[in-house]
Amino acid sequence: MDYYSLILQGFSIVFQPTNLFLCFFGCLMGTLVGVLPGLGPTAAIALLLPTTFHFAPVSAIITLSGIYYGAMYGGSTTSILVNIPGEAASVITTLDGYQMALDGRAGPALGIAAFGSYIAGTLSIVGLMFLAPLLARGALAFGPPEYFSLMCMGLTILIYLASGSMIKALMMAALGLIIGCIGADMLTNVHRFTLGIPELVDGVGLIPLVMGLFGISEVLLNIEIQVKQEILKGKIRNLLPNLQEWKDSAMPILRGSLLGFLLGILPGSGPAIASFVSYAVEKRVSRHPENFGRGAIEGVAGPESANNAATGGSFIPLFSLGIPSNSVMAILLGALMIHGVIPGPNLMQQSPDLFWGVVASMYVGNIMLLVLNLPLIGLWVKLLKVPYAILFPLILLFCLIGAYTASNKIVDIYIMVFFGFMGYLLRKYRYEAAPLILAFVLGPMLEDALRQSLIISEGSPKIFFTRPISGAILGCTFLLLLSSLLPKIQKRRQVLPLEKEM
Amino acid sequence: MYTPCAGLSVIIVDNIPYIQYTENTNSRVAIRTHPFLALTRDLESRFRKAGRRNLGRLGWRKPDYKSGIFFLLLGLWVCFFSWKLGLGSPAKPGPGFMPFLAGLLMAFLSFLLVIQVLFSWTASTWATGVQWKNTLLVLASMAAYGFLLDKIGFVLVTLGFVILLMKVIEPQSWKRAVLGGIISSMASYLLFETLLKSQLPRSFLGFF
Repeated sequence: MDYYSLILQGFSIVFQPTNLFLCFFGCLMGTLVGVLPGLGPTAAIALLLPTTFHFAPVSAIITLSGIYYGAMYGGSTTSILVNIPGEAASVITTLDGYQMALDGRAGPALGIAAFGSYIAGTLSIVGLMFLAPLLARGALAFGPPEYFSLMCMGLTILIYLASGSMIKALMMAALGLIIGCIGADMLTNVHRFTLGIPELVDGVGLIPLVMGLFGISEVLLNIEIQVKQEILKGKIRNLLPNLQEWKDSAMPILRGSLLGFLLGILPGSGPAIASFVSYAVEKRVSRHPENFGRGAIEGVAGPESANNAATGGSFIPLFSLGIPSNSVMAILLGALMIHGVIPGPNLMQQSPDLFWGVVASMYVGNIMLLVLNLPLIGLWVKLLKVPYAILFPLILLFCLIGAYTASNKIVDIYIMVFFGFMGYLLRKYRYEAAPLILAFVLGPMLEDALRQSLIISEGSPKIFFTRPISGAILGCTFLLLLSSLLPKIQKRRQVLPLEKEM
Repeated sequence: MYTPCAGLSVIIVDNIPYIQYTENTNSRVAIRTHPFLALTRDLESRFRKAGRRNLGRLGWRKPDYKSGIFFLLLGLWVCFFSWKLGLGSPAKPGPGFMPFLAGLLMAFLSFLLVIQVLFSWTASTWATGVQWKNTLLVLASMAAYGFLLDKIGFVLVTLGFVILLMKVIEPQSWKRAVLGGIISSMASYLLFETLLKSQLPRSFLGFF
């Protein structure tokens, strides 16, 4: 395989005017949802998914992934200036970023966040470029049993990394599987759990489900707490960090990149957890841990790099195995299928344009984001002054239009409202929505793999253990499940951050 | 109040000692207690005095308890209906096979959760109250939006929707609300209908 010609081919796709514009549009939207608290990338991507229906598949994915990594850039701005995280992956940045801003060092904080994000983002794309094709080649030998085991492991890791009660996370996965079963059965066409409602025969749509669980419920929670936004007054100066600041941040950025990239590959971890882990690591290796929480630039550089590197890493399982690693990837998987692209190890060979086009677009997008976030920072600060009371009707309106235009069916609005209420209650009762979404998307694939495997083996579940790859993966899964029962790890799990995945 | 170590403290509510574990996550305070502590320490007086009033104590661990029971019932219901759909044989799994497994998993886990709540120190979580009024209002207005969308057309229903929400939840001035409604309905019409060519329902007047 000739990487050089493939990547050139990718760039030739990105530099087509439409794609270049869409890449910019995605990055712009991403920065927007990143800056605005109360609307995260997951909901935003679900929202804009319908508008990408009449694009070419590669353009659609370029736009949607732009939103994802763009949000990681934008989130830091709000964290640093307002002390409210713009989205979940920037929660930790508030600790030191806001302190820096109070010290009059808002400029360098914003600067290092953007540069760190750029460096980490670019490094992780390089990793994605080399690792994904390798993994896909390995995965070509996979049959239904291997896929079944792999998905089980994915769900287990997701639950392992979930914050709060592991039982509750597993319950959400089960709920996702159940919701995924609604509709006509693929093999026998028997209607399942449709409650006699004809519109449910096609199943619950991904878009109303995600917009309800992540968009509507988030708004419902936000209107309860009246967010007081106090934006730092005064002009932001010195966006370019000085030499000392660069020296302090160089290693945190590199460590954050590696850490974020590796954590991004793992199912369920994603950018938010990467940023938390990076902060903990930086604090531990630092010679002055007492400075953390009082405006240490390492506490901004590390996590902000890690969350961007995680976005690159999280594309690997999607493109090489066809398995999403977090809820954003789950929506992208849905988008691929809507466009008639079959995700899996064959994807890179069957549609190389898609993979290489998206990879190249990420290089270009990161440069665009650097420009969007540094010279244009004043624009975003102005945007932060819009009160939530004006913002939330618009967010709801976009959700309504998005749910309707995705299918032109009114019933999808009702489904969205229903899941919005459910998502709200789940949050109140401390359940996480991320395992639900992932299980919902994986459910039909899981069922297919399970049934096919059992048909191959004529009903013997031994097939999952006797085939070497499948057996090894399932073995790891069980070890993981067992190890979570150890008290030491249980204790550590409680320290894991509350991932809000807004 | 007695504080044995950081985060742990003993509080007295109605003469019953509780161990309280406080942690500050994300500016919200999570409180976990062991409800049975009171039973072991102060069994006699508690049973003598309170009778039904003690049921209120269960409030400390109600959220997980309630949701656990709900999901337990849901899991069992799913199992039952999957079984009716037909499980098939292992060699030829039927349509109910997968939902049955999922329902079983759900029922088993929620059973564990309920058990955990009853016997553990930390399982009970503190849920902040549900604010029914605003929540239901927003949800109802969204459902109404869906109901009216193809009856009175996109622009009118959007106008009404935005004005309503701006006036009711955190009241803005009329000028702001009406202006916001007009701008957002026009802008979204231009964006989705004219630019993106989505087919939005029109009003009975034929335009918009």
